[in-house]
Amino acid sequence: MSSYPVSTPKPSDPWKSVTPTTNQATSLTGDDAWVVRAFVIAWFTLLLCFTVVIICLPKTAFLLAYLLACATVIAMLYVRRIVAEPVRELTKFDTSDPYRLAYLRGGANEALRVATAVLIEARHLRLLQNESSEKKEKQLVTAPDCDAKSLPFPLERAVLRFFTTPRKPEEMFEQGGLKQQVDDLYKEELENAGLLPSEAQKQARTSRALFALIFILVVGLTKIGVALWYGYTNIGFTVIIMVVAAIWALTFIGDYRTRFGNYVIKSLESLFEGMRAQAATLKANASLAQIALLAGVYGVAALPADVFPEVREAFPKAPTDSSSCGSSCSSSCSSDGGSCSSCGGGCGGCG
Amino acid sequence: MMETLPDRVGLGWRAPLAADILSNLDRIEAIEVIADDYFDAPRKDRQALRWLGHQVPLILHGVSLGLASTAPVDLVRLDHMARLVGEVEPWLWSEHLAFVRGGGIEIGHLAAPPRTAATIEGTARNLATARAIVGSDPLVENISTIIDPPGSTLDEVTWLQHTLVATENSLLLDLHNLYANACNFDFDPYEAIARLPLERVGYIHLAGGKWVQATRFPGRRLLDDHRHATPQPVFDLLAEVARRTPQPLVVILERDGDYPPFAELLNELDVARTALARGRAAQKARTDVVTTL
Repeated sequence: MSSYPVSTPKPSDPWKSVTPTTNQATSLTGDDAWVVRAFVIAWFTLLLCFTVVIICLPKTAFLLAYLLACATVIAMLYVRRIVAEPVRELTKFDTSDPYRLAYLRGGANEALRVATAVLIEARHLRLLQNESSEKKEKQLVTAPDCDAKSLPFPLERAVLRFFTTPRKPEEMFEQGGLKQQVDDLYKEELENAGLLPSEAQKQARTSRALFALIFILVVGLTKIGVALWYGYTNIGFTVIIMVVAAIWALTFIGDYRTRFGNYVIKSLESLFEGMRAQAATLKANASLAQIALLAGVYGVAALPADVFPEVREAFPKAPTDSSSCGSSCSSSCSSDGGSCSSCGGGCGGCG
Repeated sequence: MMETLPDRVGLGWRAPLAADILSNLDRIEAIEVIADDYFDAPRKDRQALRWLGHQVPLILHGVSLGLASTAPVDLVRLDHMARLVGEVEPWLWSEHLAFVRGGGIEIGHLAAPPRTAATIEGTARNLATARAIVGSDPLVENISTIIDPPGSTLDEVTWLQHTLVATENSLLLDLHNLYANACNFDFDPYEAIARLPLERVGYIHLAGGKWVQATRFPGRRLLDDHRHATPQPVFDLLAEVARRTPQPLVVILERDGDYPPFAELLNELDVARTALARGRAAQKARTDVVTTL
């Protein structure tokens, strides 16, 4: 018997209880400090040599060399990130809390936005129009018959408490609002799971990007300075390469998630694609949990404005997510005669 | 050393159920994904499936290989399956003991093969090819039919027995298919279970169906349409299998449309757990009696 389930070999056992492993901090000990200093000195020496060599090149050769050098630096940033932030062993991730997913996707504001949207749909929050204000601003207030203690998620309870008195939705995001409470709920946990960068990882990212930025700017600006010194003004291509490469390098600092976090979010987006395609029918057919998870994975923007008008009124500028809604197909059996439709090469049936 | 696992009860993964499944993983111990949906899927979708397989034990279930046939299995589809199994690293993979094409024509349906020595030989050959290309054996599923396959010389259970003898594969026992065939062709499903090599059962399917009026032959037929709740007799069959098998069982509930509120599906899973527990308790009681004697 070769394929009996319990004897089937598995490459790894994902069912063991998974304890989130702490992000490894990259703080340096005293012994390592000299290595860093040596690296920095070597880097600047090489940069100086390279700058001298490269600016001596004629115009076209310089542009080509500069372009290649910038591309190499950017490629090194990618490689370094892959090495420093591996997609680790795929551990279990609790998908039962939609606000954790929202936090992973877009931070505290996004988690608050999704929680508020869910509470509006559940009729625990009501949308009011402030007639006293000139702009007739929208305000949210907790429904009088709502029992916050009965709600399962602490974030929902916190949002309801916040809107005990009518307030504008944006006030949640302001200093002294709810952001700190949301950070306290999810940030550390997601950092420990390797889904968000730790402080050490952020510092390392910044250092790497700054090294790249220094190279790009020093070489580019030096060449521009020399060209202008000699009266040449045809520096357009150099400026373009320098600006594009500099912006590209800077994006490495701002990535909100780790590569592993991106992997998890992309996986969830892929798994929910079919449901997203049916977002317009969710309100009539689905449970609140489905709406919450859809908003958690894709953002409030995934809820169609015509079906969820109050949510979109509360957040008219909800950020759109970048994921695409591709085609997804699931096998389903038709009700007539047991024939089945499926895609991906031929049709099977209801086994 | 074989790992000892408890019985598991799970659900077929379908897009409309995705959110509910992911929010209730504490009550769903395995999921089954239609493999064919991912044959041409982009890499990100396959990676997503791999991630899903690390959240909950995942089974890939094929519907288009057509293994139970005298015609050779489609190597292109088998190659697709091999790639998918390699990328996703599922817990198990499975296919139907059905044919889906003949004479180069796709029939678009899982059809029961003629139950003959020739189809047993062809099935064994195709399963050997599957093992060689994919690198592991699929569990093979008995299918339902509303017509007795023309040209058959063997009954269903005998054909299944001989097929399992000719191969090394384990059985994916679809209890609703067995029940539907028993209703349609008037045999006793309990007797069928007693004759099957139950030690070869790897996992079990549950589903529901509906009665349809046949047009070409008298009477009505039970159609396995996966759109209705699992009937009680099928849960009773599950208890019977649990009573007769020593190994841990994995039970997957199939639902392909007319989705009820998710609480009802969860309730069906609980009923399956109860049936399993009932069967295990009966088995234990019987063992205790034998030991006492």
